[in-house]
Amino acid sequence: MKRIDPELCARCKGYKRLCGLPNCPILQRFRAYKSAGWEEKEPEGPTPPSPIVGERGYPKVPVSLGLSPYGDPKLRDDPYMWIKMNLKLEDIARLRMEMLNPFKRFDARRPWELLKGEILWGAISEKPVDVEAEALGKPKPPSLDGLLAPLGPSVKAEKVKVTSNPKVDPLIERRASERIKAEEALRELFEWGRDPYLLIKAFSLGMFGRKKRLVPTRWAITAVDQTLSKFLKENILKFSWIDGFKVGRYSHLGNTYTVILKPGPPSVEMFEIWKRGSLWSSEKDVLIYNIEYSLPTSKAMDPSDGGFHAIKHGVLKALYEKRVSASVIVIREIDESYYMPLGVWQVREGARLAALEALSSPNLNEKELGEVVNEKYLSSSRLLRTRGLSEYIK
Amino acid sequence: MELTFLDARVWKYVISAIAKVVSETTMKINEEGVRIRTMDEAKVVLVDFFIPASDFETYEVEGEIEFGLNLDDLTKVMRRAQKDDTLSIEVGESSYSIIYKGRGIRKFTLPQLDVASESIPEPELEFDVKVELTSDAYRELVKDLEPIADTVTFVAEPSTLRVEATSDLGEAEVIIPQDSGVLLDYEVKSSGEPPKSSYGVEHLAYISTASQVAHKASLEFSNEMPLKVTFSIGEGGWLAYLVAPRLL
Repeated sequence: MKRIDPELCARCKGYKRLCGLPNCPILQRFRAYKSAGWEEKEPEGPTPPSPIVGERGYPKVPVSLGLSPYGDPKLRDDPYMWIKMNLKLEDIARLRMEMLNPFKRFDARRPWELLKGEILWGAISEKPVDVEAEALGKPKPPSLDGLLAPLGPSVKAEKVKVTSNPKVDPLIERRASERIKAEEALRELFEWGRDPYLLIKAFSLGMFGRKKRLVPTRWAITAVDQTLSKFLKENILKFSWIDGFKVGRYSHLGNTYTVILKPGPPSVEMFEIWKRGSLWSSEKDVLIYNIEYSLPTSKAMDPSDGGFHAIKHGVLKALYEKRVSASVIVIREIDESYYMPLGVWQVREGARLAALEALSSPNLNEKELGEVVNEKYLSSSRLLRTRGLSEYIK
Repeated sequence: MELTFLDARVWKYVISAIAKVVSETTMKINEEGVRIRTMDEAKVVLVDFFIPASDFETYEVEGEIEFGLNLDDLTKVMRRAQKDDTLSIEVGESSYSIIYKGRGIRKFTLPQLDVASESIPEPELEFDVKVELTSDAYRELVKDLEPIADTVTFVAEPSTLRVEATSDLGEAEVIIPQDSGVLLDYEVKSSGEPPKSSYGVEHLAYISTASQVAHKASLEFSNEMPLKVTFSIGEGGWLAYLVAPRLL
């Protein structure tokens, strides 16, 4: 097998396919992780719902609804609950990978075909719905990648049918019949308090936009992060600045998020460190850097980094909730206990919780800042090192 | 009130360059000319744009008005400026219009924003180093350094301008001797240690988008002090940036 530069893996995280191989060899090793007892010809069960729109074969994309084998189906697709219950990596992976994903291919340009079998409304239902499928062949082993929460075994289905009544948010349902831009629909629904995770589902199922299209879930996640971040920035720019430096930290699932807040506009800078021996970097520490300035139109230095957009969305949401403005430096350190990618939700929520922690902490002076944050990051942060002009013009 | 400027493209470059720094600002029009002075939200970059009344083809202005602009929207309108278009500005009660005259007359009207006028002090800075180079040379310099740089350091040696850049990826160095033909003018006042100062590459890149408005760029700085980049426009106008230094 050809040798792959470990730096490449940390940048790719299994979803950019930078090494050129058809399947990520690091993720490949989890394929045997679990193949739950989903052998029957006509699998049925409730779905949280947990719809996934795949991207292979675009525009003929696979759409699946995860079926729960037992227990409370809702818990299998509920990041807020996973954090609240303090679930471990194994617990979350198990909840996800026990679900069967019967999938059928649809033309991305014809999302209304999902109305057949009630799949469309079932997929964005606010409560679990029952699903019946007719499987073709044997289930394939589970899959993972850096953006999505783990996926259980999948099986090609002849037929997928939602058999109980979905409960659909009327505002979202209405957007599906309107020809307004997806960006406007997303911003408006977010303003009305709709949860981003629901918006990702609805967006990927083609509910928004002038032309309705199915959007592969991985693309939808980043598109929603970017669109909502832009909206958050526009609002935060109107809030007053915090009055001093603040630091907050939050750890979960082998990831430690350190957030430094500096009085200023909502620029976001990220240092992501994959410690030696962690998932994407077996041989050495790998540092990934990214930054996006405060204007709503500013672009990230590396716009293809989905993890960065999730971090940005998380911290900006914290500022928005507290109605203040700050420039944000996020240090994400990943250790070897994060041995399986859980999806970008944990990045978004981890960064948000660290930012909230920082916002409720006392101000620090420069010396105190040096005591709680590694000097290495303080001295290489662009946001911290750049002085204001006010020191020179008076 | 009516103002007409012969080359609409100058405005196109200027406005899109200012839009990289702020999304809203104010424009002041009085008998002396038209001016936009603004700072980015983080107060790291000050932009100063001025065109004197005498550089306009027609300039009928009495008194002074100042109104708010949404630069993202104005940029979209400015993108429509074509070669050989003239640009006129009309200011109404609560809106303003941009009118291109070339092949036909195209008029775009945008609302005035309710933005408080910023009181930005006039910087009184003395610079030890003054460099003049062609705008193209400035743009190429930034292009050379941008892929590798995070921070760019200017070092003014007696007869050579040295520009260094470092980042996690590596290092880059550009050496421009005084007699290489690239520097149109080069003055270093200080004796002793060569003045040296560093700036964020992203700020230098903002400025390079504006470089098309003029043929020449002048760079002025002192040891660990702000950098001033000026493009001269027409007879008495300018687009100038003042950038705060980055500490190493």
